[in-house]
Amino acid sequence: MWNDILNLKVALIGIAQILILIIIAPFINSYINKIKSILRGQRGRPLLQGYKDIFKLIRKEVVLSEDASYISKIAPYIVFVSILVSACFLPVFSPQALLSFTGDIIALVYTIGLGTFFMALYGMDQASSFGGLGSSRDILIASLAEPTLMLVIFAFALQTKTTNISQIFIDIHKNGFLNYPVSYVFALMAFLIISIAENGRIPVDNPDTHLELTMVHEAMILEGSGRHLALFEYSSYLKLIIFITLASNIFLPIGVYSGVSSSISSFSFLTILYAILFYILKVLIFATPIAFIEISMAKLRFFRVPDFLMLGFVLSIISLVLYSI
Amino acid sequence: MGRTDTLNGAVILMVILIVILFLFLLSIPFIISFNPKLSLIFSSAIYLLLSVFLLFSLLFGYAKLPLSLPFSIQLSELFGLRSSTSDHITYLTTIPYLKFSYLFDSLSLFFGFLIAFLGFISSLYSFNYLYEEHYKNKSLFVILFNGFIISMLFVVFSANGLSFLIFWEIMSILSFFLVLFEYEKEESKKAANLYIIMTHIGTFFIFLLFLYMFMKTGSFSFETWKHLGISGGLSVAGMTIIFILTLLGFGMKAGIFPLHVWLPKAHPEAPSSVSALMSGIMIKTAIYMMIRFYFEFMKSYGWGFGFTILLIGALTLIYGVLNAGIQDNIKRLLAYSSMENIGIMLMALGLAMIFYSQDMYLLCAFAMMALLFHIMNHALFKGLLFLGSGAIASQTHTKNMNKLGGLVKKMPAASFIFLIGVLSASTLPPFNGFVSEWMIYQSLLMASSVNIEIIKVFTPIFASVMALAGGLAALAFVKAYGISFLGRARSQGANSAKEPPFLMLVSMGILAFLCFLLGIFSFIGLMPINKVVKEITDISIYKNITISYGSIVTLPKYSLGVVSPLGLLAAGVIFMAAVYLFIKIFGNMKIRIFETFACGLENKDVYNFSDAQISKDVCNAGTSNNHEGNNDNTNNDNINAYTKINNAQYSSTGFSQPLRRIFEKIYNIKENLINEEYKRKYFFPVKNYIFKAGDLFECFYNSFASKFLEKISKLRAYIQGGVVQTYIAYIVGTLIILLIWVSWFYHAG
Repeated sequence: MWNDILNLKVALIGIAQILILIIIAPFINSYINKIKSILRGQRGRPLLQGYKDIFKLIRKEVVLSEDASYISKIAPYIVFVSILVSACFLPVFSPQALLSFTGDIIALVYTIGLGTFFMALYGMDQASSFGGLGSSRDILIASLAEPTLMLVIFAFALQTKTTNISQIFIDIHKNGFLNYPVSYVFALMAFLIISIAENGRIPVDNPDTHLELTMVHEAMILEGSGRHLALFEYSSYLKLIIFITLASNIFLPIGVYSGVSSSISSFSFLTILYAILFYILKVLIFATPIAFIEISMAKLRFFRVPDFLMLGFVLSIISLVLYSI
Repeated sequence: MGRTDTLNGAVILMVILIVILFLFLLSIPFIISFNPKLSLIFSSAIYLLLSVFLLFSLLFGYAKLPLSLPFSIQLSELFGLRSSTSDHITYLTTIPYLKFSYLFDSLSLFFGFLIAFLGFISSLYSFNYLYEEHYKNKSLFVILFNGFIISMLFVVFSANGLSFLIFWEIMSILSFFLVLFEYEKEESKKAANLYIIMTHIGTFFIFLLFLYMFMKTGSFSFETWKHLGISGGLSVAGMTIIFILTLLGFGMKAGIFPLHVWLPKAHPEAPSSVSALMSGIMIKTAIYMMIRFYFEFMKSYGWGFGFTILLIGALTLIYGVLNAGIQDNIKRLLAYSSMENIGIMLMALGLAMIFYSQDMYLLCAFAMMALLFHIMNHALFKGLLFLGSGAIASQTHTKNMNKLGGLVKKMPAASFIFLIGVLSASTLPPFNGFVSEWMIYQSLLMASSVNIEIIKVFTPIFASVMALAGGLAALAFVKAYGISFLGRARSQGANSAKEPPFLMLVSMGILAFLCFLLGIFSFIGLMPINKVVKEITDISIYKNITISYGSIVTLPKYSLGVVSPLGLLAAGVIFMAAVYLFIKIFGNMKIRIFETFACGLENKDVYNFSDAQISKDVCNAGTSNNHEGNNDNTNNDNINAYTKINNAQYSSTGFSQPLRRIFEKIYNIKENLINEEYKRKYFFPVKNYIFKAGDLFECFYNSFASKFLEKISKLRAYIQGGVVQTYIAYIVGTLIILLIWVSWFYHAG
């Protein structure tokens, strides 16, 4: 185990994976917005707008409510760091994750949960009624999405007999695209629904506005400003990219993924480059439908969201049943 | 029974226990006439010593070690103790079958340690708490409190059915008195009545169970019952009877799904240090007996029992957490959360039973470890949360979260400690609840290797139920923390709160530190648990599941997953430092303080009573809730004095509204918005919002009981009609029947 940790190549690949996630996260958000704009017939924001926004926010001062406590000061950091830590468990373009020995897929879900918890506390810290509204709704949606997420996770964990994400990905890639089971299709649909709910995308929540009708995620961070807002925005970008990475590596098992392994002697820079390119391509493929869904659907009423999530649950059960028989 | 020549540690332990009992009894007059504080500090020291001793004897096996200390033989003769086997102590009485025998094996030592430790913490806490709450009968409290802890200790150490029942009954009655401690309050009376009735129904089933065991073995001794299991003297029907009776009897105490009604009523009414003990450990004495029955007295049963427990656990879990989400009384929220955790424990117990019945001892050991670890963790964090809620209640004089708020500035230390408890209870990393929950998830995953179709199909569903419960628990605790600690004060009581006294903070701080410690270095907790598991399943898996740097992996044969809380924390700290430095270098660290945006509401003069009249009109709709179990409307005038912004905050009732609406079928909710004055219907109307959240099953039982009692009373009125002639006829009839009976026996004999 210690050899694995001290293996320089593994560590470098792991750090490279985190960096790639951090770097492309704002881009993917801008990319989705761009596609939406194009579909609407607009020109849209430039693709690098996400980075500019983040930097602009970091350089601004924080306006803190006079009712805010230490929770408001630490919550943005904890939310961001919890997403970053969970990103460390995630193998992106190679089977080795930086911290695959510290956590598995259940730990990933719960670490993201820590972020959700603190964001909800942040929403209630400024004595504003909007924040409480957002916290109440966001944490309810997150907890209703949780069973489906766990069911999908268990479906794959049972198939591969492990909860280690690297091992799950390796097994699925070994199985290949040609032996793609039908149950995966249903699992993919269920996973799409949870990703939408967890990331507050359109049929559940609208990330672009904080109008009262869509007050879920944006209402919680209504009082956020400056670097705090930057951290919240960045963590929501990162959360989206984590879900897309999970989906793309589970449901599109092609690419030079398993080729990038430190144990293989034919470890070369070119392979890694190919793998990264393949990964980005896969991410773009999976990000596109989100834009299409957002452009073609209206936001659901809040009390219709449980029905939407129930659909995901049923789909994941179908996937499980199809796998079992 | 001959006396063994070498005495063992068990005798010493027993002597210590009895000495404590005597000291306690002797201290009663002392407490009555002198200072209860002195007695509490004395008893907390004793519990600390006892818990250390119990932990050491668990770790190093003192109870089985032959010791020859000076005077130990004389001591044991003085108390009339006889040691039959290595860790068994018997005290004979002249009454047939009544033998007070005590057992010091790993399982009872583990539970005894938890009781003694939590007893230490809560007596330390009571030292200040009694005076903060201004109880009248402080001496009485100390007596009941110490008696309660000691009776729990004797319950887990009892090794004889009858002596167990005696101590079980003492435990129940003393806790009943403690629930009734504030006897002037109507709510306390109701809760205590419900508690004593339901717990006695439970004891009735336990009595039946022990009688059945006696019929099978001819003895009340646990030792004999163990042989029954080993020799396979039980038929399937017999085992089913035992299973159902244990489920009813002990399930009543544990608060499993349909029998839970007393739990969320009784726990909030007791003084907080007692609620901590009741939730932290008393309900787990039932789990302790279940472990004894299912793993020692019963052997070779089918997987159905385990599956039933798993199913009941899942139901308890989901019902408890859904109800926890909608409570406005902070202690009732915690009580429902205890019910949820009992569900988690039952799920682990069920899994262990399934593995046990399939002879998969390695997996059984893992699930058992998860179970015992969760018991330990829950004792720590729920103890902490109940003590914290006591700190809130004693400072603000209300348990209703709609009247709290802003406490984070009034009591910063207590709020930080409470935050740790809340994070542990929401099973989030890096705290202890997460590790045990993770182990139970892994046990669920391992259940897929059991070769039974139903279990294979159902395990992912159980996992998703657990995930839903985890999310909803987070919702309940975000509400508990966010509403009561964050934002602004919603009442004068919350506004004038102060930091609780030193010893209250210390006792809570110790628990919070342990929650963190066991979350990071979980192997510290798993080490003693391994001894218990080893004794039950004969397998030591400690080496298999922990590796050198504190991470926990599942068993090598079933290499499923790995988690290292230490690694999680380290990564978190490194990233935190990196992010902070990045912002410090490239960004702006300035902070400007400004008021919260409130859509144009005035934000000044928060505590200015001048605009009381305006806010009274506008805000009454949101604040004057008549809560069941919380009739302190005395603060209403004070609330009205607060400006709009304080009451425009999200309330606890509002926070749980989406949950109430989505799961409205399983709640028993009465909501009503009443116009107080009919004339002012449209212009500044004064409205009263009435909200009652009852338990669906309580309602069901109540209607059932009232119908049943009506029938019974009608029957009684028919029989006891008040006519003397009828009574004479009864007497004559009884005489004739008795004569026939006696003569029949005479002829038969």
